[in-house]
Amino acid sequence: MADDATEARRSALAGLDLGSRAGGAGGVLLGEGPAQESFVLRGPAADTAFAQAVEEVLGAGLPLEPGEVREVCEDALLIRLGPDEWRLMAPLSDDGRLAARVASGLAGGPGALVNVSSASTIIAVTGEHAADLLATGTGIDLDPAAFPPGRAVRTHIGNAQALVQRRAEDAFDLHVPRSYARSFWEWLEERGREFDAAVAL
Amino acid sequence: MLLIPCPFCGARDETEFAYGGDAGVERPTDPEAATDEAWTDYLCFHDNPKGPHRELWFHRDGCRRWLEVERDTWTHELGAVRLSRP
Repeated sequence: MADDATEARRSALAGLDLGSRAGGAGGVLLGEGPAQESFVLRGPAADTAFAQAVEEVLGAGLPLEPGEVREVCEDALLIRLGPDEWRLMAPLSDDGRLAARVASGLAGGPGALVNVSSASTIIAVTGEHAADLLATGTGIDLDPAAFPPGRAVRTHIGNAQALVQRRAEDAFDLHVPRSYARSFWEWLEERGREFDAAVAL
Repeated sequence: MLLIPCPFCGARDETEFAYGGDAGVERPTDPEAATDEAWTDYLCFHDNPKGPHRELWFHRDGCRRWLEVERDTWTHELGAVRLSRP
């Protein structure tokens, strides 16, 4: 019988055979980010029972500023995406344990947690011209003063909706819908020619 | 291109939004009792003003909330914007 765990995590970019093309230096490096567990957390921000239930499990309060990214327990991140929506990102090694605890903490209250791990592919864009490349396809202001490292926004880039997580001034993680991953990658490579884009190892 | 000031996300390009039409249309409160005329009016006959208009926009690529936006259909000038259901 096939290894279910391996099959479940087959990358949407597997067909591009990136491993064999990796190498070289360029103004921008494109690579697939490490797969993570991802959950949509919904609930009323103003509801104290909801906020407390989340804080009790995660060890940190809900981030309340739009686009705020907060480190919580077990190397997980909580990102504020909307008035009543957050994204919980956890390492694959966590294997659903944290999410199970959040879900049981929310039981009976007004919040909900949904696993969306397989819905998106994470593409890492790094390098001197990373922001320049993304700026060719989005209307959001990528100046570090307006979008500092450590923040995230959901927007549209190129042909896809993307959750953009800025790790550093020159490092972005783009969470794009899985079915768009391949065409989005090709869009990045096409636009990246101007900046000598290379595939990261 | 419109730059719509989303109350949650800040100013974003119109391409992040989906247009949802007139914000003032009211569904008949009691569908069973509504006359054909009332249904037809609700479904098909909407105002098409040249000038200020209150309309719905869905912030599809942002906070994924419906907004009520005041927009002048003649000049594209935007007025107040608020979350449709806060």
